[in-house]
Amino acid sequence: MTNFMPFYGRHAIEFTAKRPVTVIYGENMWGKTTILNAFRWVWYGTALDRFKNNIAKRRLVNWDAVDERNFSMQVDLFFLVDKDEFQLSRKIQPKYEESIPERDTDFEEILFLTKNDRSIKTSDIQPLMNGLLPLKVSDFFLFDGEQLDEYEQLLLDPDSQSSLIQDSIEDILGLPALTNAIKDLGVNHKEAAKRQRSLAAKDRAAKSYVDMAERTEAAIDNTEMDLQQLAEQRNTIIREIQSIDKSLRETAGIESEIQRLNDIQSNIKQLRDDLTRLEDERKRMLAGGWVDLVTPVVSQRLEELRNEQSKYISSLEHIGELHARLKQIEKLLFERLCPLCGQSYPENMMPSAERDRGEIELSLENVQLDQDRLNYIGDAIRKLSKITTSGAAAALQQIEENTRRSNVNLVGLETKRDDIQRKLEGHDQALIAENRSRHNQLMKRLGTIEEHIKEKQNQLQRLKSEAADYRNKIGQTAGPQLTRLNRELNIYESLIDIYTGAVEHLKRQLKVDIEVDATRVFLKLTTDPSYKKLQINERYGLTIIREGDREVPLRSAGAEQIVALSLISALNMNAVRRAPIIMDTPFGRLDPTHRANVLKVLSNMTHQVVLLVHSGEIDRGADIDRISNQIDSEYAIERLSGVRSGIQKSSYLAGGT
Amino acid sequence: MTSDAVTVGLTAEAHDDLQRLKDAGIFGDMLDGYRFAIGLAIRRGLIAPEDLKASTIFNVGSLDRDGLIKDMVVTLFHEAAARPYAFAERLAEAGVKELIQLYDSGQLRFADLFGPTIDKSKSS
Repeated sequence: MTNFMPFYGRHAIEFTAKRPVTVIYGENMWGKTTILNAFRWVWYGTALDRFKNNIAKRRLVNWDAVDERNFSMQVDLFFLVDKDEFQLSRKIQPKYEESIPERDTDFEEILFLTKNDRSIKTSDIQPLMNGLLPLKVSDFFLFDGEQLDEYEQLLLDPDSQSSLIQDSIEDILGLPALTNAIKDLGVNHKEAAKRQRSLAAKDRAAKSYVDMAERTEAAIDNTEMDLQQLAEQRNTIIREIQSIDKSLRETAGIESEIQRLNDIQSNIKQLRDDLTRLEDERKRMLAGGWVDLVTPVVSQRLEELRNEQSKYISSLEHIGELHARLKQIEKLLFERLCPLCGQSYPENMMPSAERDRGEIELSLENVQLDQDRLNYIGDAIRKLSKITTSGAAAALQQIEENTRRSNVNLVGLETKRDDIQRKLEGHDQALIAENRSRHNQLMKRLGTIEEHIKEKQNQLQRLKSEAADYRNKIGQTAGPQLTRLNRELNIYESLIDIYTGAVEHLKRQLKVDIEVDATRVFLKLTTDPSYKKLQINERYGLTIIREGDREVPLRSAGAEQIVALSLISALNMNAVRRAPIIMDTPFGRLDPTHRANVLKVLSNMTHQVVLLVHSGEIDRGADIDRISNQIDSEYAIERLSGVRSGIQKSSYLAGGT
Repeated sequence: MTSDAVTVGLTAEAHDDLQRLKDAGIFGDMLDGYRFAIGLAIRRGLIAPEDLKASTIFNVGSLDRDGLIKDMVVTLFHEAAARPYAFAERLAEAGVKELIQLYDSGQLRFADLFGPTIDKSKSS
């Protein structure tokens, strides 16, 4: 590496592969991930930050070098594939001399590859590198222990985004050997069919079938082209979805906060609407509420008036009684007859009757009746009786209680809203919403394209069957001259069938092999005795199966790492060629027992492993001693300044530091 | 005998107070607030002084279409018999003052207003 990120000047690391494990020590922020990125950059031309975003070229150049106006940076990699020696070199430098490059486009990138000292054409380099180790599965070989959520996505994602990863996994497992053979056989078959039609066209009887066969073949060509275009569109969409997914994963927390904020704002609006409705209702009630306010006073007054009225009525009745008695006594005194029996009233009792008359007359004189007052009372009662309660008191009580409750809720929601808004400050909410909307749009388009692909595949199958039918008819009508060609065609068709069946068989077998090998490694790594095996799915995702053949639905970060390492090992064991594995912070989430287990199986995972570790995740004494016979070499990253690191061969095992 | 008022009002200060209550969304309109103030004054036994310098804001026809307020005032208050609307005006003035005082102190709760009667005229 020369001037690559914190590594100022030239730094070399030698991987002799005499023993499988190389250990590079370095504390956080010193440049461990940079070394992982150096491999990624030289191989694929991309370096990723911790959010999995591409790092701009300007940031890849060491800052001290930039201060010296040196804007060049270079990574060289020497490697062996089988017995072939390769030297790969990727360099960036300013596009124009004396210019200060800022953007990626201000840099020129120079790529250089030799195979056994012979230069490879520049345009062939990247496809060759991708063929050796596809970018889509690079995360399995350039393993970042701090990005485990990415592995979860890679391994378990059931949607079609992971189909590219599945294809790439199958590529490194050797499937192309069969699929390329099918393609070649298809070309040969097509050519033979063409020759058959050309020969048969001379035969009058076969001519009509030839015409139809040619039309069908043309339709097959068109359908195949359509399918190819659809597949390209599908892959473009999947790539865009993957890129948006990456952004959405980074902003997943923010997105859920935005969703919460939207819900809260909607609830706030609802509460405000409720409060407006309650306020209107309160105003309506208050408009007639004065009646309810005066009701107790009015009731009390009415009671007083009614009591007074009642007294007047009693007086009236008493006067009536007195008048009746007076009338009776006066009749007695005048007729001198008993009013009860009609006999003569005894003379000696007359004075008593006269006394009674006098008393009654006196009583009548004493009784006063204010008729005006009585009339007033009647009138007042009638008027006050019109004031009847409107029910406003009870309604207002309910309204005020509801208003109070709504206001308490509103304050609570507004506080939550403000908290979320503070959290969201500095985040581009519009961009996140746009990403989500674009993601949904792309998923919909992907669904449509996949339906079209299925339709086209069905159509292609029908057309191929028609074409086969015409070929048979041509063969039958054109007579013995086509016998050899017919046989050739039949052989191609049979071979294509055999190879197609073989592809399916190999895919199934590969999954079985991967499952078996991954399980074998997993059982060595796991510390949980209830875990019995790993189960592979269509996309090469792995699920832990525990006792009783039951799935483990949720995995801890540690278990996730163990599963990822198991898959990496299994892929390496089954790949056409084994590749080195470079692991950054591989033990960060593992407890000591799991760490010891991983160290034990390292040499079985592949022939060459590079560990980038910090002091907190590995014990140089106990852990490294345990695998000392597997260690090829040790390096230590040194921090030289805030922006500069160096790398030195370290010799702990030899007794150094 | 002096004839009764054909318009009713409030002092400038009480008018502003009622306007504030209306603007704060307590009452739908000033008339509702005016009637409510009369009711509150009756319930709490409040009355403003006789020499009120009120400005006209409502016609009594608008305030008391069915004559209910007039009948009530006349029936409840003997002294109001001659000029019931002039008396109602004094009630409204006292009621508005009470309302604004409750409102400004943050104690305007209608459920409380409808609670047990507090006759301020008898409390001192």
